[in-house]
Amino acid sequence: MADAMVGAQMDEPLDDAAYNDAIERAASRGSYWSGSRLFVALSAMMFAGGAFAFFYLHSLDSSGMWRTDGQAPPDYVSVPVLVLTLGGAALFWGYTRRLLRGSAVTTDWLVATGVSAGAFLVAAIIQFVGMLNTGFFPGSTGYASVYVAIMPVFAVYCLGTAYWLETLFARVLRVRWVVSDEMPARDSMERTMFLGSAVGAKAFVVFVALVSLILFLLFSVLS
Amino acid sequence: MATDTTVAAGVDAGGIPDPHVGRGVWWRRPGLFYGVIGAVIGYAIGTWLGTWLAEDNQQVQGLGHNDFAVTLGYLVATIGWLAGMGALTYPLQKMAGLQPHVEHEEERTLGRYFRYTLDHKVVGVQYLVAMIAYFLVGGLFALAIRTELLSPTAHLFQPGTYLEIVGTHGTMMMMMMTSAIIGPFGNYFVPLMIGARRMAFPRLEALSFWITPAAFLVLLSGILIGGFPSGWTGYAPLSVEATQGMDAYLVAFGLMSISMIVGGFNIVVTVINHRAPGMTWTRLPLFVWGMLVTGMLMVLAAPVLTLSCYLTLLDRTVQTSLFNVQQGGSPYLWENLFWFFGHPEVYILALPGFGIAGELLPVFTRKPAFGYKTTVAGIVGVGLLSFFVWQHHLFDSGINADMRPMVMLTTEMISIPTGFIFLALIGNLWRAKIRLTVPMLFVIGGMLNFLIGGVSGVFLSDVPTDTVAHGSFFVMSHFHYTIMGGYIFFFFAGLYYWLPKMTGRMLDTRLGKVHFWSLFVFFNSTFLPLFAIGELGMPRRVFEYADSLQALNVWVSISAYLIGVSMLVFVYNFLKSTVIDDKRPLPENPWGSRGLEWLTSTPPAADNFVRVPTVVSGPYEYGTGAGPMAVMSSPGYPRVPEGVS
Amino acid sequence: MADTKASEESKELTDRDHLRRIGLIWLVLTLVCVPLVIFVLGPHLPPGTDSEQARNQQEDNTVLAAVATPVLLFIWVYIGYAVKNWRIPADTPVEELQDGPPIRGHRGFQTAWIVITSVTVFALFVFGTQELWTDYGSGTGSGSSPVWTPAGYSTNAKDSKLLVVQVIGQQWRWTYRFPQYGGVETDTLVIPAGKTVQFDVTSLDVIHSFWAINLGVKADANPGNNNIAFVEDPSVGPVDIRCAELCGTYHGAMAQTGQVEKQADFDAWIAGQIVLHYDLLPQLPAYADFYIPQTDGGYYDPSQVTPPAVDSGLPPPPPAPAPSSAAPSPAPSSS
Ligand SMILES: [Cu+2]
Repeated sequence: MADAMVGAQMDEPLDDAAYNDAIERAASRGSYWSGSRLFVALSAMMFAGGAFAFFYLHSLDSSGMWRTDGQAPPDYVSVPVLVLTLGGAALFWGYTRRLLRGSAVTTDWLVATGVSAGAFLVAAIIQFVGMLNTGFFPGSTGYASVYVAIMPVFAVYCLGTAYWLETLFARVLRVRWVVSDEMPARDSMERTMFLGSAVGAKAFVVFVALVSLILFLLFSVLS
Repeated sequence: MATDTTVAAGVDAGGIPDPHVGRGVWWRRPGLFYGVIGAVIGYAIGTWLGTWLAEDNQQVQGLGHNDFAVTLGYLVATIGWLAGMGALTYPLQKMAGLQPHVEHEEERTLGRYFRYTLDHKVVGVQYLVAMIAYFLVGGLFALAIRTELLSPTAHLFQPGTYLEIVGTHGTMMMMMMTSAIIGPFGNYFVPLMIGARRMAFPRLEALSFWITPAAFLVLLSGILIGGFPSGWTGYAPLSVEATQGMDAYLVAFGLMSISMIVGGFNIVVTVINHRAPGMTWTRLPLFVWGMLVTGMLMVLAAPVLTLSCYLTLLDRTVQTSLFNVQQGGSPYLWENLFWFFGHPEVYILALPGFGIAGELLPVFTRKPAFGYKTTVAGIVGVGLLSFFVWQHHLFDSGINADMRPMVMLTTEMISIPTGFIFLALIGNLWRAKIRLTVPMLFVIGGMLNFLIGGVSGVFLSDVPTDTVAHGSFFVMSHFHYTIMGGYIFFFFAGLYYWLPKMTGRMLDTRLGKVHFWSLFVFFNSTFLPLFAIGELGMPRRVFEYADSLQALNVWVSISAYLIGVSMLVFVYNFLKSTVIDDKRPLPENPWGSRGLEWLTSTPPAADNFVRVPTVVSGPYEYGTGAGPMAVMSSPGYPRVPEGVS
Repeated sequence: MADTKASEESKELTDRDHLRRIGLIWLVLTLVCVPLVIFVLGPHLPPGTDSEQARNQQEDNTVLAAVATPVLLFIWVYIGYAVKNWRIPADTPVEELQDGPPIRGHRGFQTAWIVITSVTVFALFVFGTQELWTDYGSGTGSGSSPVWTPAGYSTNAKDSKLLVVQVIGQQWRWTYRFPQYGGVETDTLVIPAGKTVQFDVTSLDVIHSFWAINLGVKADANPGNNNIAFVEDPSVGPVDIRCAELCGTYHGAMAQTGQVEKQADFDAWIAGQIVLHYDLLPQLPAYADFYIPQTDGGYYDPSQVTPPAVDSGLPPPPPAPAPSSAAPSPAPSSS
């Protein structure tokens, strides 16, 4: 991480405030890291519940009504959502990785993050609007029910991702120094929190992209 | 660009003050008042939206009740409530690129208990008062049930009303009480016990608390719109067919699951990251271990509950057929998803109690924790195994029976880590200096009750004996032994033990002993006969039973009333100590505990510790000659913060 | 513990002495209580002795109670002993508190504890699992393909040598169908004594649970699912039946008394039922897995119905003889 470690080079005892600050910065950094992973884990549990519903109803095939032939969401909804989420995730992941290694220019990163946030937002909108035009009645089959249930949750996750990236974007737009080299106080809490958030988002977009891919495979490819 | 990075009180580098912070007239900042207004406006908007959505929906018209309107009314009201409390301010500021700081109010005003306060100690007290209130309300429903069961035929309530009462009691206790220990004591004491000056995400603890009043009121309001007939388990398809009261159950349980996720998440991240220098994993207090694993269970199991509630709401509103067997769904989907959450939930209601027992035993036996690592292994083992046992609730449900041996094995295996925790009890008492203070009485009482709960559980894990016990009062008694007899007893142990720290006031010892002995005796005289009643053929949730069981049922009902009297003793004691008689001397460390939480001032200052302490020995080093557990504030010690460089 | 110096007030007693005393009290109590549980309490334990399944469950209840008793006794004796011998006044001032011996654990004791609990648990597991391959677990609803089936079982009621009774739950009553008797439906349960009966439990609406209390049978009734439970050798007498899964407003009143009759009485009863529903029988299918309310008021989804067993040699649908000749020949497995 680009954030410099503090305290190691200090020789004189720290006063209470500086000492507490140093400890809390380290804790905050860890909190963002483990918090984002934990958030991925709990989201994974929720989507796993959805996947369980998919495979369980598939295997039961109650009344022979798991899925009618050819029942699938329109490709003009599912394909753009897949492309936008995968693309947005790749863009943000790549540029944030470079940023954290110190090899990205802030402006590059800012544009990439803005585009990525936009991609997730558009994906969410397409998915939400697509729910109005699935081509099947929600209760027609088990498949239709699971689709109608899970995709809005996924759209909310896309919206949440867009929000998260937007907060990073807006933060840098407002105080450019949190990522730039001219940062006045390298050890400031702001910087720690910003980078923590960025590191968390970097992991989270990968998760959302993965979910997007799995949902696409389940609903549009598998038959 | 701002260059001044000093963290002034609540002032962002951009110069924007945090609205949660600083002084102000009550109507000039978010708070309870605006929360209520937000809820009312939100309810109106949601109901209008739902009505508009369903206006030309034939199916909704045909049903005669519009679940869109009720559901959206509840959901938007909750959002309005949280917005009015100030929960949305921070996310919106983040969107604008601001970074508000957490700053605690130095002033100890009463008002901060009614706001979206970010001090974990305030949240702990909020939780404590609220949980006691929820518990007492749930208890009143229990007394109503016992009144109906005085006679073998329906005599007091209509059958439908009776089911509403049963369902509301069950749901109130099983969903609100999940946070009865992690809410008050977890939020209050975890940071103090690990030497942290705050929680990892202070806004999350406030959020997790302020969702609970919404969930509570939504659940209670269900009664006004017909209640729900499905009990706390909400089995489909009954839940899909039920009238609007069911929406209250689903929304309330869904909200509470979110509160659990948020609260548990915060605790887990805090314990992992905010431990003071020297607070190694092997020095971590057992209570914190209990909270950590409980938080983990909440974070990983509750999302499945959120999903389940959401799925049922979809079946009820947009007419999906997830639980409809004629259209490719299955009622077993609910049973599986619900119990996948539901069994870890049972341990969400047990592990915090084990944590308290493990924490208090060394204090009142004046010995190091016996088998510390075994106890930790027990807590973690129970938590892990709890994810693999859910299908024992489905032994006679008619699903494919092939999984039974595996589920039976995992279920019975839970006795092994649970045994570790009893081992700690046994070991701690050996040649100890046992002080039977009120908290210690509750610990031992809770252990004795939980023992019966655990042993009766073996009868439920074995298929042939489960045939009789399943769905009967036997099961009901079994889980009351673990939850009421175990969890709630440990809750009281924690309350009597920690209230002096939280408020600077001791609860009256003599009244406390009356409370304990009456509760212990009447609890057992209520629930022991219920094992027999269940085995003799009385199913749960019925208002009619065989005449031959009346004598036992009357006995149980009278005992249940006496539990109510015992609770009144407690309520009187609680109010007397905290509100009426506040001139009691404030002992700094009335139990002579070594715990880190007792090394701070009483009650603790806004940021807990002037200087982050350095932990130098374990919390249970009684009789080993170890000095105090931590170095609190020696200037310049240590020179370089450990774990930072 | 053995390696620790004894504290002052019990200097004369070593760890071993304490352990021996606790063990002795426990042993005496166990030797008294376990036989009491097995021989005095056991024969009175639910669900009684009205069928083979009930007897098995009673035996199982007794076994588990006998295993649980020493465990309960040990903890009770231990805690009682410890509190009696090692307590100090609860109101001892904090300054005067003395510490107990700093025992952090005891390898032998902990190992023994873990070994004993693990062995007990695995013994219970083996015990419980082998029961699933015997008739011990067969009173429990085991889904549509039970692990254990009695001799004469067939997946199809027509070929089954057992008496098949379809138990159909609906809000808030039970209906019993006898597919081997032309699909006659009754609203009371009568079964013949001494026979093996197969209950096919299903539901028309929400989830119910068919609990024939004194027969040791409990099986959830799910819509669209066939949940099979068996009862062997029921003895003559009333059968208490309750719904054991919350099914709506009148769940609490969904109780009924059935009857186990001698074979001859059962034959006469079912013949009477056939006569009673004589006109209706030819229109009913003998057997259906799915009972789905149809818009025309019937229960049966025609596409899911097994055709009536016309040439099965089983009784109706009868031609049109005098009522007396409608008396069915007994099910194939009857003696
Ligand atoms: Cu029923």
